[in-house]
Amino acid sequence: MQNIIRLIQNNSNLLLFLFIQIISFALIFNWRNTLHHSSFLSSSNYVLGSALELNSNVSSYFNLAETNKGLVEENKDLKSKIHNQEIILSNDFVFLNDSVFKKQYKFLHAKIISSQFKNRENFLILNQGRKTGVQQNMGVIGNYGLIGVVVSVGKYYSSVLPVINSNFELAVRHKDSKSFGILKWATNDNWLSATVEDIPSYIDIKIGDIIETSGASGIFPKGVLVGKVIKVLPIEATQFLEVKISIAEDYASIYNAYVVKNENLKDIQLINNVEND
Amino acid sequence: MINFFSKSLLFFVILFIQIFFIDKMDLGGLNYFFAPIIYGLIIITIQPSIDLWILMLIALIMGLSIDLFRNTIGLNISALVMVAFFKYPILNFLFPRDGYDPLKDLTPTNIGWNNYFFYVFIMLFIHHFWFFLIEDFHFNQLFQLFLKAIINSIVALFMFVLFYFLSRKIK
Repeated sequence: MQNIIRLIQNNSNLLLFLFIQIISFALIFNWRNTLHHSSFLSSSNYVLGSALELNSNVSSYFNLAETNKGLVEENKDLKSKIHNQEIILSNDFVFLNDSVFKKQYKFLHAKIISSQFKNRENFLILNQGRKTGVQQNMGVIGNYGLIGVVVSVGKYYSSVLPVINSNFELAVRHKDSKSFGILKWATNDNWLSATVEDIPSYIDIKIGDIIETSGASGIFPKGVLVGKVIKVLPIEATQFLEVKISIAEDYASIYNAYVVKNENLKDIQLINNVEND
Repeated sequence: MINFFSKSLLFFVILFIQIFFIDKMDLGGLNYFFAPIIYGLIIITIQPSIDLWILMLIALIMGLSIDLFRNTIGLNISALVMVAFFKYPILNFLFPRDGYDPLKDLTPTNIGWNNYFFYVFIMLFIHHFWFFLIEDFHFNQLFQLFLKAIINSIVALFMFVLFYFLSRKIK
């Protein structure tokens, strides 16, 4: 017994070191695997959020030109969508291009007060939280295209898992052929590119083709731009392609975002649960 | 005697620079090689008379406060405590006999420029390499990680020297 106590006394520093390392590794893996982060231990809590917002209030002035350009692009896009929505059947009838006749998606504007792009695990912080109705697993899109998914919500701030995080995964589709793939951020991607896997190799994908959201999960509307194809690589000995895309959003200069709320999400989840049982 | 007030002030200044300047800076294609970690400055250069367990607890608190801002709980704690743990073995290995005064901070004037560069570079390399390794958590791009760690260590070392000159100006 005495020997054991002496052993602990002699190696107390080493034991403390190992103890802290084990705790931090447990925290890392817990953090990576759950994705349901407690808002107390993250930047979506009030104190850190307001520090980041102060920083963004100062730095956002330097990028007004860039932000304006993005808004003009988006406006152009929306205009073209609005005028194509009404299909004239005859002189009198106007058919609205919506099957439910109810607004399915609602959008909430949010400012991005902090964005990371240098690490392997990047997060964005939005200045909207539980108070304005943001919930976990809501989609976030920007002026140009897809941004990410909300992972933790505080009272006034929330943090977003963007495409450029190694934990990100989403079903997307190729616009021309409508075939599905899975969007991931592989280890050889930088903050401007991402990888789409599981597209069958018989599908003809050209450089410059558009990859968009499939709308299958109900988090995002159908057809939100994700990126453009820059490289197509066949995976050896399989029937699938590995497609490299350039992401539409530039995470190094990103200031505006819209949180997507799907009014029919409960129905979609109900059906999914029935299918799984 | 350690001036705790000035040290904690210095830590807040470094945290501010790390989070709001270095992490936000966009250098285009060079981004991959410009992600220096400078918040280890205090742990690396504080006087060696502090007990190891106190140093590790300080590292724990500093790492946690960086983690909260970067939204990566545990990553920076692990890296900074690693640096604190290896500080004394490396000091004893590099300067076996009277290389430094344990009651003074490890600045270039106290231990000499050559020793300072050598010692700080090794500590920074440990910090960067361990950080990038557990951030990626697989080993198939080990050489690239190695290169990234070396280049970022050199950038961080350069910043440490700038800090040293600035702090001398302020005094």
